[in-house]
Amino acid sequence: MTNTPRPIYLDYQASTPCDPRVIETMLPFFGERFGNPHSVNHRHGREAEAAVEHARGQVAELIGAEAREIVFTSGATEANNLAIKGAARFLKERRPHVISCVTEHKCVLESVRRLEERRGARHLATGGQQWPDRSERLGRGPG
Amino acid sequence: MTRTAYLDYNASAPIRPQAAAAVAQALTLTGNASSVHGFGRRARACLEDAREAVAALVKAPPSAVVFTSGGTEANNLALRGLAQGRRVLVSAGEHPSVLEAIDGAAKVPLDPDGVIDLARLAEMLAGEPQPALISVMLANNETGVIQPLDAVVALARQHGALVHCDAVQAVGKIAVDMTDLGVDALSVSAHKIGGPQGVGALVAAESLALAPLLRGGGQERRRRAGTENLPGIAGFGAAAALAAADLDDAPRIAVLRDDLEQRLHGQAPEVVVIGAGTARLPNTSCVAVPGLTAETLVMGLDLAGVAVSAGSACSSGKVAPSHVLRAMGLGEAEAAAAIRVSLGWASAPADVDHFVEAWGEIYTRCGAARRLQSPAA
Repeated sequence: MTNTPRPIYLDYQASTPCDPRVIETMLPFFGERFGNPHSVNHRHGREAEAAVEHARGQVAELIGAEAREIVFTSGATEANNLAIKGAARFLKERRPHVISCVTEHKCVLESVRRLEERRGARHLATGGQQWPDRSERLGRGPG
Repeated sequence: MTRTAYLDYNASAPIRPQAAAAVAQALTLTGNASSVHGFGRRARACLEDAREAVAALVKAPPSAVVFTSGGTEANNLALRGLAQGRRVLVSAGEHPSVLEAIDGAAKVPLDPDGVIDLARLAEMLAGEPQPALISVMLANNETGVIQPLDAVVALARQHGALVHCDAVQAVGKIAVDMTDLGVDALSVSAHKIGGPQGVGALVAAESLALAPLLRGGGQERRRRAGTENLPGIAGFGAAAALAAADLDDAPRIAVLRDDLEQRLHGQAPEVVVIGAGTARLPNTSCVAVPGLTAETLVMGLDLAGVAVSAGSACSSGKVAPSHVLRAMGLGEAEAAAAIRVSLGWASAPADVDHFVEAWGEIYTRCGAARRLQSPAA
């Protein structure tokens, strides 16, 4: 395959090529606009903070949410871990009841499994099938 | 363009051009590093090159490197992933990402120089029935004070304790050799060494039981799930290689820093250099003039185009004085007067000149007001 003159990429579900316009937007932040968004006591930091808040508005708009509802994470795996484990932490029940679907992404199923281990959560995985064999289902593979 | 001086490297260092080029290059790579096709394999190769460079910077095997979203995640992963029933002891001057990572950690006090109280640590370990996890930073972000990790590790070994070391501020400024240090886990961050923000690593032997924080796919040897931040990691790798080669530059930076402190002292003999009595990083200066608040200085310096911090960037915006300075026994007023000036790879004598000039103007301007307020002083 590496000898094919022009490889064809048909794996957009695993990862999409980065849009050149996106790269163009990012590059200044790997150059002169390097400030820490938390350093609001000088202009470099304030400029970085403004860029983060601008992006927050853009992401909110994409999904019809409010900017203050957006929590940036390192990716969807962290977002799903945060949603499931973070919400369970505030549930009053000592053994939370979790309903999910057997076809959920590994990072959802594994987060729920962690709740089963740590909190004795009762997990109902819907989808008309038995809970899948974990050693098979949770193996490594592209997101 | 107006004259500016960036002297806030401990908050974030300007990215090195070669690291920026590595990020830009990786952004054009298509593919998920876990995919088995050619695109994925190229992404994987880029990832593994970076892993080797980061491992080499701290003299650890590549298999020990777990890439994270930064120093904060690395510290959280270390504390929560290694605690597992162990009693957790942290120094009182740790970064908030260590202090806040886990509930119920006991704090080991600092001495007036900012160094961990080893006698107290020994007592705490001796009084501990369960095995402990100790987390002590290699160098402090606010003062640059270097901690005696060798002594901490020796005590830990006597008591069967694990040691995590937050080396985020030390790496690239002083030589860090994980084997020499003898610590079990070490946190590093890319943007403190001239790499991009949003990427770091926890370095811990593959054989060490480390419970993951993020669960899902089997990335990072099952220690950290989630598709890897390839552009960030590529930039981290490039920055790590440069930072390792640039350790020779440390004496030049120390000369700039010492010159800066001497010139402040020349203008204002009452200047206090915090942590000057002990070993410090070559790039960091935490200075205070009693009665001249950090807020006034930082704002005035910003107007003059000079970027520095009051305490650590993470505490900026909060009124509370630095927990590090308070742990060193400084009073509230003294702590509120401290600013942090931090230099790095692109710092030049002109930056120091600009800072000293601007600082001197604010000091003189505020001098009359201070004398009026405190005639006894």
